[in-house]
Amino acid sequence: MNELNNKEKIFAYPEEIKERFIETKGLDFRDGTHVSSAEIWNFMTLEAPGRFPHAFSMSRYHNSQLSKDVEFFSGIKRGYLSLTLRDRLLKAHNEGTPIIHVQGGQTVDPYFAAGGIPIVPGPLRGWARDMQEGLSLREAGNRVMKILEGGRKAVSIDACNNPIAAIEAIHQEIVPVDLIAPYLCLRCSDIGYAIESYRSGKHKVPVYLLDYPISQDKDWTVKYLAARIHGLIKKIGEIKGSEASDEDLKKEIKLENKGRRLARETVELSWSASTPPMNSVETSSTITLGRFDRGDSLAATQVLEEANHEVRERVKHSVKADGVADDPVRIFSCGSCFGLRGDFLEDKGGIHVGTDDHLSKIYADVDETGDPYENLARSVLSYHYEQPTEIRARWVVELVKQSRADGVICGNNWGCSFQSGISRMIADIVKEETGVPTINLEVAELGQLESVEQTQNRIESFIEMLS
Amino acid sequence: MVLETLEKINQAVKERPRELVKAREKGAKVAGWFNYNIPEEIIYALGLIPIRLGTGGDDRLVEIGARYISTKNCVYTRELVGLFARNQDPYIINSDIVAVDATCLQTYRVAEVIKHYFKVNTLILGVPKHFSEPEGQEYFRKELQSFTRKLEVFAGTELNSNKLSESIKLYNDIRKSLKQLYKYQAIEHQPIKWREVFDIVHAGFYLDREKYLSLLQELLTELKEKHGEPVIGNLNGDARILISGSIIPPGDTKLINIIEQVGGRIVGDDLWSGLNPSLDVNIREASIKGIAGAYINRVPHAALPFLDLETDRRLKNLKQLIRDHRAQGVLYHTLRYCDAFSFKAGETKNVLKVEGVPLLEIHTEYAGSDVEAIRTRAEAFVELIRNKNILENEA
Repeated sequence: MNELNNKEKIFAYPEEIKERFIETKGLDFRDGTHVSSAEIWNFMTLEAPGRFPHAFSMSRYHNSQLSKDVEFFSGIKRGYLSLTLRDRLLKAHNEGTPIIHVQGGQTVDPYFAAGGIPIVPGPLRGWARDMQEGLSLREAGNRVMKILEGGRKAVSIDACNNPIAAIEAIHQEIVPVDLIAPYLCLRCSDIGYAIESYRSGKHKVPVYLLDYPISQDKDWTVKYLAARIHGLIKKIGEIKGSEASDEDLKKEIKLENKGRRLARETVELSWSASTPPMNSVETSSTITLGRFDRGDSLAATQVLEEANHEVRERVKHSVKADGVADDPVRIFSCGSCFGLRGDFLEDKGGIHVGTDDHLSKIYADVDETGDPYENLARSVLSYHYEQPTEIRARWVVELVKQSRADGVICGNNWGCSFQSGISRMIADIVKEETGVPTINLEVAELGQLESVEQTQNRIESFIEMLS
Repeated sequence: MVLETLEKINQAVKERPRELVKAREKGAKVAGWFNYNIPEEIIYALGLIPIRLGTGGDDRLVEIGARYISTKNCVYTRELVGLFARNQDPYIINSDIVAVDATCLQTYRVAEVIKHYFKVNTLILGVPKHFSEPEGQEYFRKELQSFTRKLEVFAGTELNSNKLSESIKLYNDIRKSLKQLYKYQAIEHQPIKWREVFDIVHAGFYLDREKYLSLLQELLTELKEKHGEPVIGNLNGDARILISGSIIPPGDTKLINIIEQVGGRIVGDDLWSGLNPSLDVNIREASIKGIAGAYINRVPHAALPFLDLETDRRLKNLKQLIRDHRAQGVLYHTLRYCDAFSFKAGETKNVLKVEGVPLLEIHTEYAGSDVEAIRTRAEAFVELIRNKNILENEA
């Protein structure tokens, strides 16, 4: 361990909130287990800091810090979902639940309904990292980079960090994945090619691709995608040993609609508040939890329910999120897998109010009546993020207005050729129609636990310009 | 021996922009297109003038294009955008509509960018990733029907089955002629170089298709009279190279020049700007359904995923072309950020290794800064093949 890590400050939840926290409701999981708040508290304060010390690092170089707004209790539970993902996925896999690697930016209703657990590239990379415990921030970062470089070496130096590291982790058998079944949509240029590149590898994992055609508004496109979703359910059924019924699908759709609605309401409430009730990390996490990316749609919906209640209370009593400036510069972001480091933004007087990529998922409810396959297909095809760019940009304009953003950062990751190609167009349209300043950033730090100065310098300058 | 028809083709290409201007003055409409799966048969049958757009190799255009698209897009797409931004290319200027299929989605992004920034009248054709599945084929049929309806409105006429039949015959004859030309360039004492054939393929992007066919047939007759039927017999020690990988559009001569300069002989390609679009197009009925089936079932573009290595038709096609043209090595050309082809390089190399065919990947852009580095690698590759030939002859 080097000098930097020896001096690393470690975050801890204060004991004075313990009693109030453990009085709150626990979480129910899809496998029938219930975890009390006392158990969550013990995990987050005793077990997790020992097993995953990097997650608690307060190093100023740490990109993915836990939220320091400790009074926002649902945030602690969301952290619990993140840090127990590894254990829950391994347990589920061992009990015969198919673990399915999927694309970000798609509805996950059919995967859960069919009895599987979908996991998108980011959390999958985290799962692979956490298969080794006790790592400091630097050690965890090195482990992630080693997996990533293995993927680049196997496929191409032009590959985006996100899909290539995730698929490399699967093929190195670091994590047991039972099926790879992503949508092939415009949010990611590399996942399809990366999967194809590994077809001759030693480790054989079943693959089922779901096309996402560019002509979203046609009846035949709906039927085409619905047929593929039907095939997906069958495929998961074959692996699991039992096929989901239409009723299973409808039940899951209902649950996830509830989760999406809660996430949406919570974020919109936060946007409309005179003082921000949620900090950047909580806002981003509420949005991503609305796409059920932590392996359990039931527990995620319960966390969202609690978050919704907490935000309502804070708005009612004009409570500002801890660590946020009085009148922060409100930053909206655009682009695939492109996040902004919340604590850094807040240090500089800003706040992150959302990203069009993840928001797209919580604005796509599924019709609960009629053919569930066609309803799912229609919902997926309605994702604002996947629409022709001029239409997507006009949706971003609405979000920028609604979230009262002061600035928009359009970002894309190294290797993401479908998103980089229209990043400027989005920025230009938004700037033209709202007058809000925009900036384009090309970044390469996806998956890196420690910061990249260049990006932060540019973001800092952008905030300075706006404030 | 000089081929007179070659000069006629070159002259026809020079005159083509002026012809287009005149045709448009008389009311004709030009349908430019780019990507891979636009069926020209339909465009032609509707009385429109099809032009395949796009050039390569111009770093200045790449720089202009990158102002609108991104430096993380492949140079071909950047140059395409640059062409529309500068608006001096005679074929771009004279295109009344630009049709784009969504095969390579980076290229689809170009369609979005040029529509937004340069107000280009674009028409999009969706292409399924599950091209071999029944639902994917049905999707493409419907897409092509919808695409044709829109094109009919633009042309101001309905698709006539007789005209479609004539158009299909014309294009079948063109494809047949091109395949025959490829045989001539591959024979021992080549009467025509691959590079000349490649240029002839590109001439077909622009010329009136009937005139083009007539010139192709004239050239084949001239070749037959002077050199007989093409038979690829004994090899004469040349380092015979097949080019594969990312698109090499008209104007992009960097790699071709280098191979020739270091003494390699190109004897074939499987490029989507070369021979590939002419292969395996079996139109079983003169209808939209027949054309959709034929296009979606031909050699698939690398942007469409193929999950089974054993039945991969791209690799099968590549191996067949290597055998047909008696190539001894493959130069796998990948443009930076062209993931469709770059990601397949390692696997293709391994597959060909089993066949005893060496593969060299050249990962490049249009800039001249890597010319010497490529030359060194290409020279070593050519030398390797030559030495292998010498050893085999001695044995």
